[in-house]
Amino acid sequence: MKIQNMAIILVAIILPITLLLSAYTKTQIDTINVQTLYSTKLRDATYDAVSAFQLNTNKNEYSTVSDSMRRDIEAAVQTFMNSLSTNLEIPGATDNYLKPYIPAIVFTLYDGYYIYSPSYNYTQLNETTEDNDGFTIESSEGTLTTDEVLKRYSNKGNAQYNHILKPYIYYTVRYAPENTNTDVVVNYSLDNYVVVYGKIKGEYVTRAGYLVASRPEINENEELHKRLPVTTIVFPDKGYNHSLISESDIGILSVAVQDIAVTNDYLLQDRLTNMNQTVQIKKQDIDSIPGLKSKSLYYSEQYINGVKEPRYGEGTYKTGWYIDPQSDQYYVEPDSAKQYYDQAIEFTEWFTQNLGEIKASDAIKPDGTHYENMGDEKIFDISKSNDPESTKSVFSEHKREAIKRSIQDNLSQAIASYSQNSEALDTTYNFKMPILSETEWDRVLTNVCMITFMQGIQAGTKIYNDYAIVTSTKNKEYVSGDSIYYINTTGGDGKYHRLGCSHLDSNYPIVGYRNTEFDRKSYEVEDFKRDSNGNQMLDENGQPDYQDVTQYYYMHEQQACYYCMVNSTDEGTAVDWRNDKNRLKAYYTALAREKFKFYKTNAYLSD
Amino acid sequence: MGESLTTIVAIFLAAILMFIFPLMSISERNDDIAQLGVQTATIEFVDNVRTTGKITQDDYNAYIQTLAATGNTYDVNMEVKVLDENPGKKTTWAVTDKIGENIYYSVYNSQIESALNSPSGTYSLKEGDLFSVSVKNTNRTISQMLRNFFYTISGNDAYQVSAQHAGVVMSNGN
Repeated sequence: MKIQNMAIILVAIILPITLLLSAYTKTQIDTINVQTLYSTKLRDATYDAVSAFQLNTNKNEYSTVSDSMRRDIEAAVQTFMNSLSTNLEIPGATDNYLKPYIPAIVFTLYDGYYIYSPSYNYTQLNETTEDNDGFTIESSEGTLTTDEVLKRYSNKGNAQYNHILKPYIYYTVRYAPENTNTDVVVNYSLDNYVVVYGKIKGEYVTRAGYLVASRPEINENEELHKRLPVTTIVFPDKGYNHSLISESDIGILSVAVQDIAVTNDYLLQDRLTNMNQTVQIKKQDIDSIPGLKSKSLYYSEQYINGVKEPRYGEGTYKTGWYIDPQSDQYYVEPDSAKQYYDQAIEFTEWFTQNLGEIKASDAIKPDGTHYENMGDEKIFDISKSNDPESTKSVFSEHKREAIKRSIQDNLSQAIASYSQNSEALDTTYNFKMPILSETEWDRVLTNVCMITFMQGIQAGTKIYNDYAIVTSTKNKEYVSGDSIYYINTTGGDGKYHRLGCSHLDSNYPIVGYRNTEFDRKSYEVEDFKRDSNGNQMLDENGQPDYQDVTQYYYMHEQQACYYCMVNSTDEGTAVDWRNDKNRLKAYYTALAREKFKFYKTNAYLSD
Repeated sequence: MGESLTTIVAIFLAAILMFIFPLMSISERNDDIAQLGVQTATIEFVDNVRTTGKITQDDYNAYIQTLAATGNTYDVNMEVKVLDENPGKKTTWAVTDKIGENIYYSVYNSQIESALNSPSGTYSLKEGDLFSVSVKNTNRTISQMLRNFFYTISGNDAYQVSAQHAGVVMSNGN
C-alpha cells in the first residue's frame, strides 16, 4: 500500500477519536465549572443572608424575642433565595424554581437552632380555641369540631407541602441517672450559660445561670462612655417640676449626639438630666428652631392654679436632656461585671452540689434510650480542672457532642423526610445529609451560624450536591471574647484595638465594648423641608414644612487601629495579653458585663 | 525529478498528519486539563480564604503545589483589598446626614508572602475585605510551542492556562 493511503487511513481513525475526546473533555470541564460556580454562589447567597440577619437584628431592639427572631430569620431566608436565584445564572430561575433543590437551611443561634425545610403545612386551619369539649378551630369554612379537626390533620390531602421555618429547637439534653430521683433537662448555649429544669432529688426545680470555675480579677465599678443622640428640650417647669406630663408640653431645641458617662444615677427622673440649665428664648427665635414639634403651642395659653399664663413665649426656660429609649437599649449598670460573677458563682455552687454526680452516660435521647459511647466523666462537677469556659474541659466537650448530635439528628430527619415527600415539589432526587467535618462543626458550634444545603440541581452532566457554612461574628445574639474591642479611656492613641495589639497601652485604663457598638448607628430628626437651593419650603398654609431626616453617628469616637483592626500585622498580635494583668482584667470585665446585660429568652425559667 | 519532489512533499505531509497533528491535539487536551485543575484549585483556595478569613502558609503551599503538578510554571498574583472605614467615620463626624464613604487600599503578593513567612505563618483578613487571585502560566506549554511552529503568537500576554477568582471575605480571621 502506498504511504499516502496509510496516512489517510490513520487520519480517518485518529480524527474522530480526537474530536470525540475533545468534546468529552470540554463537557467535563463545563460541568466542573458549573459546579464550582454554584458552590461559590451558594456561599455568597448564604453570606448575603447572614449579613441581612445581622443588619436586621442589630437594628431591632426586640430581636431576641422569639417572634421577632422568626421574622428576622424569614427575612434572611428570603434574602438567600433572592440572591441565589439572581446570581445562579439560570435563565428564568425564581426562588420558587430553586426551592425544591434546597432540602434544608439551619440557623444555629445562642441557645438553640431553627431548621427551615419543606414540611406538611395545615395553613387553612388558623385559629384554635380550647374549651371543655376539646378544641374547635376557626377555618375559612367555619367552625370545625374536634372530630373534624382530627380527620383533617390525619389527611395529608388537606395540607400544603412547602418550605416552613420549623419551631425553635433548644440545645437540650435530658439526664436521668438510674436509681436516683433526679430527672432533669439541661439547656445549653454557645457559652457557659445553662438552664436547668426538672426533678432534682424529687423536687421540681427551674434555674438558669452562668457556670464559672473561678472569679478572676475584674473592675467592679466601671466608668463607661457612649455617645447617644440626645434631645435638648425647653421645659416650662411651672408647677410640673421635673417630670414630663406629655410630649406636647415640651419644645425640642435640638437633637445632638453627646458623650454620656454611664454612672449609677444615669437616666433617673424620667430620663431627664441637667435640669438646672436655663436658656433665654426670644419670640423671634422660635421660628428659627427646626424640629420644634409643638410650635403652635408656643402662642397658646394655659391656666396654672387658675391664673391665665402664656404657655411659651419670651423669657427664661429650663432645659433638659431627653434620651430616646430606642437608642438607650445599651444601658448597663456600672457594676454589671461584679453582679455577673456574684450570681454566676452562687449558681455554679448550687449546680455542682445538685448535679455534680451526673455522668455523661446518663444522657437520654428523646426516644428514652441512652446515647452510646458517652463516657463516664462527671460532666457537671465544675472546678478549675473542668472549666466550662475552656473548650477542652469535659463539660465543653460533652456539650459540643450533645449539640452536634441534636443538630445532626434533627437535620438528617428533616432532609430524609423531604427525600420521601419530594414528589410534592416535583423533584425525585434522593436528598441526603452530607457529613460535616469536625473543623466545620467547630465553626458551627462556636458562633451564630447559617448552613445551607443545595442538592439535586442539574450541573452540566452531573447532579449538584453541596452545602455552605457561614458564621456571623457581629450580632446581638451571642457575645464571644473575639467580639469585644478595646480602647484606652485616657491616654492611648484614640483608636480601638484587639487585646493583643501593641498599640493598646497597658499603662492606661482599658475598657472593652462589643464590636457592634463601633458600627454606624442612625437616628431621625425633624428638619425643615428645603428646596435644592437650601431655602425653607412652606406648606399650603404658608407654615414651615417639616420632614424626618436620617442622621448617622458612632457610639464611640475611636477609629479602627491600622495595626490590628483594619489590617493584620505583627504589631497587632505582639502582646501576650493572657500574661498581662491589666489586659486580662479588661477582658474579664468586658466579657462579664456584656454577658450580664445580654437578653436571654428563657431566663424567666429561673424565677 | 518531479517524482522525487512529490515523494518529499508526501513524506512531509505524512509526518505532519501522523505525528504533529495528534501531538498538537493531545497537548491541547493536556492544557485543557491543566486549565481545569488550575481553575478549580484557584476557586477552592480563594473560597477557603474567604470563609476562614485567613491565608495560611499551609493552604498557600498546597495551592502552589497543585499548580506545579500540572507541569507548568505559573505567575500567581494575589491581591487583598483592605476595607478602611475610618475615612467614612471622619466624614460622618462632620456631616451627620451623610453615609460615610469607605475606602479600600490594596496589599499585594510581597506583603502577603512576607506575612506567610513570618513565625505565625498566616495573613489575617477581616469581614468586608476583598480577596482576589489571578494566575497564568509563564512557560511555553507543548501546544504553544507546536502552534508557534506553524503560526507565531508571541508577546508577553501569550499565556495558555489562566484562572482568576475573587470575592468578599466573610469572617474575621483572628
